[in-house]
Amino acid sequence: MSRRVLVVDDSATVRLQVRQALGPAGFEVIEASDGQEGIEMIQRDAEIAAVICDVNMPRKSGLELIEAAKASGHTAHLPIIVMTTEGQPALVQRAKAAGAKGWLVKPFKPSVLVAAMAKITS
Amino acid sequence: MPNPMDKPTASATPAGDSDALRVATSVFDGLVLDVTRALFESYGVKLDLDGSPAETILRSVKLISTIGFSSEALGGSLLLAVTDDLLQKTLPAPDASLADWCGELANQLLGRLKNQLLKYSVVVNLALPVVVSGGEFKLPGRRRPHARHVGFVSEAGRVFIHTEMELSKNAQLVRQPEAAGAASMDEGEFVLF
Repeated sequence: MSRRVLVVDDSATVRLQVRQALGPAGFEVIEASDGQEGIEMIQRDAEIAAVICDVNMPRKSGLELIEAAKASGHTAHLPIIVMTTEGQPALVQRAKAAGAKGWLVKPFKPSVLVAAMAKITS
Repeated sequence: MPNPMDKPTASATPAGDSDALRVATSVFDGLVLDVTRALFESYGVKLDLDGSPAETILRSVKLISTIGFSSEALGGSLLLAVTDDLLQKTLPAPDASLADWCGELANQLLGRLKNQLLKYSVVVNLALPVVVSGGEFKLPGRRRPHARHVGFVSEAGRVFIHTEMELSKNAQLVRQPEAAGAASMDEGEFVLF
């Protein structure tokens, strides 16, 4: 199975953090800087095995990305973890209902992220 | 400073009344202090209050970030200024951009504030951070009824926070015990569905 993970976040620092956390664990990390770019990347790259996305981003939000992924037969299977500063229960439930696989509140521990990705891509 | 979270919060004072506004601003200011300290502590930096004039602190920063927030109950903006040495100290990845990190810190700060405001049944929507670099920053002109700034100092550098907040008519900032039971997720927490 592919170990390619797409991280979608408008912060380059967070994307770098994810890359540095997952890279040594054997994941190939590719990046998108907003929800729209993330949607376009999952539509054209069939090797993406999982997605990590922020919520508040320019152009398209993380929730819109989840809804778009789940609405397409090509990408509906993709496990998506939301990684954000927010922990609002209603928002968490909305992501779950939309088809997200998990929710992680920033700042994150690299070991937690690695374990989560190992589990959902195994 | 006493933690406003520990205060009795039952208040039936109608918003618009000066007492309601005083309670709300006191709670809000306390939360800003708490979340700022907690955020930097999570990156290994202990902050102490800095009584230096705002102009003195602002002269020492090169990057500021600002984010707006809004809800039915209140709206406003938060400005975060951090000295380069402190940004460097908290930078989670050595190769990261200080400007980008300054924006992300403001984002995380407001995210923490949002999570605390949920305990008051206030759900704010966050805008995206805007980062400005330069020098000789001056405080923005006040645009909302409540404006406050606070400075912090640490061994690694300084932090300056400026907030503006406006309480909607008939709104209150009262902690809801039942809302605390349905607590939001904490920083670093992970749940797999």
